[in-house]
Formats: sequence, C-alpha cells, structure tokens
Amino acid sequence: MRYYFRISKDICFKSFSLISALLTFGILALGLWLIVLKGFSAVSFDFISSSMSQGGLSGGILYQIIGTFILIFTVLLIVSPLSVGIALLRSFYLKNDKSRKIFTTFLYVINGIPSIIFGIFGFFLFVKFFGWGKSWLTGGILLSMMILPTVSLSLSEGISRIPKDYIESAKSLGLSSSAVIFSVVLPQSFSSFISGLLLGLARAAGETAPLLFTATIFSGADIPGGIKESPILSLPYHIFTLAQESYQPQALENAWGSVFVLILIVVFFSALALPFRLKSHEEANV
Amino acid sequence: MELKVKNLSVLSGKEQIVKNISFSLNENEIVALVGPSGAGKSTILRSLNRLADKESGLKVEGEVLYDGKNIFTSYSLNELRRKIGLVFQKPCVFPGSIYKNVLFGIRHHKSLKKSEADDLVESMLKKSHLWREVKDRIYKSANILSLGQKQRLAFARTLATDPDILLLDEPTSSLDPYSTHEIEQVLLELKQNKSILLVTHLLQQGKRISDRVLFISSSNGPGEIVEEGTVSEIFDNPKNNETKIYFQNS
Repeated sequence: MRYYFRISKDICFKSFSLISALLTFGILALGLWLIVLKGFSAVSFDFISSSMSQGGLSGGILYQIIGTFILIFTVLLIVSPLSVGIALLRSFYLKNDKSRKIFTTFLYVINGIPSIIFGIFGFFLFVKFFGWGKSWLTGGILLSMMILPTVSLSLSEGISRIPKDYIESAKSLGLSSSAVIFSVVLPQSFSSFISGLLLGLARAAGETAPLLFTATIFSGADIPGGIKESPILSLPYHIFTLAQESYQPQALENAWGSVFVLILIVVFFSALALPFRLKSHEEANV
Repeated sequence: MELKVKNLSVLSGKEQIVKNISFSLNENEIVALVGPSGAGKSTILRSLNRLADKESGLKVEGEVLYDGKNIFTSYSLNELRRKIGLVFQKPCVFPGSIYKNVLFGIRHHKSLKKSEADDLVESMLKKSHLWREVKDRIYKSANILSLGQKQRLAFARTLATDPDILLLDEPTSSLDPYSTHEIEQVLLELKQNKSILLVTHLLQQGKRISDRVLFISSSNGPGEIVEEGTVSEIFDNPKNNETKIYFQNS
C-alpha cells in the first residue's frame, strides 16, 4: 500500500513539474510565434535603416534602434565598474555574515522595486532638481540602477564559487589583496560577470517605464549632442506609443515590426550570455 | 635562516586550538610535525605564514622569530610570505600554462625579462623534478597535469619566490608512491639550502626524510607538543605515552 502511495506521489510531482514547465514555455513560445508572425513581415532593410515619418505611420526605426543602443552602452559603462565594486565589497570587505546578509537583502530589495518608481525618482532628481530635462544620460543612469543588483549578485555568486584554496594559495605566495583580486578573483569569476551583465542589458533594453518622463520622446530627436535637454528615441517607448494608436493598421504593423527588432536585440544579449553562463557553471563544478 | 617559535597559541574566539607551542627550525634541516588529525598541525603552519590571523580571523599569541625578528611586527605580509613559503595538501593550479603557473607568485614581487623568466621556469621545474616530464609543453595548460605533477608544480611556484623556509602541509597525502618518492627527493635536495617544516601523517615518510620530529597531541584539549627529538628517539624509543599509543596504532 505504502509502495503504491509513494509511486503515485512521485507521478503527481513529476506531472506537476512537467505541466508547469510546458505552461511556461508554451506561453513564451506563443508570444514569440505571434511576434514573428506579425512582426517579421513588417521588417525590411528600409524599416531598420530609415527614420520615422508621419508620426510612426511610415518610415523606419533607425533612430529608435540607435537610441536603444546608446542606452545599452551607457548602462554597460556605468554598471561594469560599479557592479565589480559592489561584488567585491560583498565578498571580501564585509567581514561578518550579518552585514553581508543585510547588504544582500538590500540588493534584492532594489532588484524588486517596480521600474516606474525609478522613473519617478529620476524625474524628480535629474529632470527637475538637476534641471537636465529629458536626457539620454538620465535614462542610462536609471536603467543602470535597475540592473546593478542583478549584475552584482551574479558576480558575487561567481566569486563565492571560487575555491578558497585558489585565494589562499595566491596569498601564501605573498600576493597583496589587490593582486589576488586582479590575478585570481576577477579572471575566475569573469564568466559570471559577463552572463549577469548581458542578462541585465537585455532587461534594460526592453524597459519603458523609467524612460517615459526622463529620457525618451516619441519623435523629433536623433543623435544627442549633449546632456541637458538631449532626449533620444527608443524602441520600447516607440512601441508603447504606437500600440496606443492600434486602431490604425499601419501604426499597428510598425509596432509589431519594432517589437520583432526589440526581441531580436534582447534575444541576442541573452544568447550571448548563454556560453558564459554555462562556463561559470562548469567552473563551479571543477 | 632559522625560525624560532616561542609560546605560540592560536584561538578561535575564546577556544584555544593550540597552546604554548615552542620549537626551533634550524638551517638545512627537515622537521616533521606529526600527530593525530585535529591536533592543530595545519593551524601551526598557517600561523607561521600568517594565513591564520590574517585570512582565517584566528587570534595568534606568542612570538615567532625569523632571522631574529618577530614575524608579526617586523615584516610586511608580502615579504614574509615570500620568505616563508607554504605548500598545501591539495595542489592548486591556476588557470593558464605551466610556465605562467611557475611565475605566478614571483612576477608580483619583481619584474623579469623574458630570458630571466625562461631561465627561472626551467630551473624551478628542474628543482621540482618536473622539467623532464613537461619541458615540451610548458606553454600548455597546467590543468592537464596529474595530481603528483600538479603538486610538484606547486613546489616550483613556491620555490620561484626563493623562500628560506618551506612549510609543507601533508604535501604527499593524496599522491601515489612514485609521486611521493619524487617529492621526497625534491625535499632532500632542497634541504641543502632551506629549512623545511613538514606536516605528515605518513610515519615512514617522517622516518625517511626528517632530521627531527615534533609530536603534537590534543588529547587534553588544545594541541600541544608533547614530545620532541631525533627520528630514532621519537620513532624507536618514544617516552611519552600518547606518542607510544599513536605509533602503535599507526
């Protein structure tokens, strides 16, 4: 009796796991299929290489793509050094477990803050208080703040997977702490850093809320020439605006095309992160 | 160079791990530190290289004199660790080539010309009895070496920093007899111009290569050296009861 109960319990759990996975992947696959179906036909060389006209009803999304990449590279430049600093602080300079736990919880809390809150914060601090108006730099800073915990935690996990022997062996040879960090810790956790960074960038590329009133406009901008009053066009905001005009078939078609391009960018960064993620898992299993 | 340890005690919080450890390590000798697991042998080695107090957060009391000067007050960490090298039980190989591994420590202490680096790598690998086996692949990954070869590479890397004193934490415990023999030969050759403190569980190894033996026991609490003497005194005619029992059961 107990045997049959155990077997049926196993089957139940297995079925539940399988259904959960199928449901998740099914919804994702359905979404992707819809985007490819609707978006692929709207994308052409002209679409990605020309600027928008007639309020998005015709023309392309060249400056929206450029704007999105400006944001991504700004985030890359801000997040890379800061996340290394935060991860090293968490892993090496916070000496006791309690302070490390508090710090980690703090990072998770930041990670969980809704993106619109970052938008409001950025609006009052940068747009109003600093008087920058809408600026690409504000957008970059806000997106960086959003993904900083993800990248820092990914790097921290990579650092915590480095065998203690490596660090002690290096120290026993007389290497200073900074030499150990540069010769052992950072090279050994590089894969975790890159995978976290790329996943973070993929998330940043698709964010709309923090940019709404801080960095992007719908039309009338190209490549920014300064910081103050230098808004950019971006794909998420472009899609957001066109979707509101979905009663116009041409606007809707362009929105689907933009979604397709944005998904390609996100998938590109996620796919780029995959080998690094696999490598960091391999290193952890050495 | 001589190393003198006087009343060394190591504490983790309020708990003593070892207490009142005193011994000296003279020039050109191998001293074996033997005793049961958990007696604090590795802790003593890590204290002498200052890994115990600086990296593991343990409290170290007492005095350790290297070249007549206290290691806790008179040397920078980098200088001390360069002069008192430590080889661990489990060989650690850094990512990169054999060549890079040998130079891993020394290149942080001084810059070397290519020819100097080449000569140093060859000479250290020869001293570690590894040159013959790897001379055709020193620019290849060190990860493909066997465990015994990795341990000899760890020796070469430590020797490249030119330490006067070598602290060895069971360097052959996971190696096959051939690799163990190779490493023992290395140690006997190194003894000509270095002092070596060897922690070992292999009593025969202690007999074969050491000049003096320290027996540490923790049966009454923290680890203490309960007997010290020459190889024949300790192995053939131990006076302390705990030493006798340990050797009888080993």
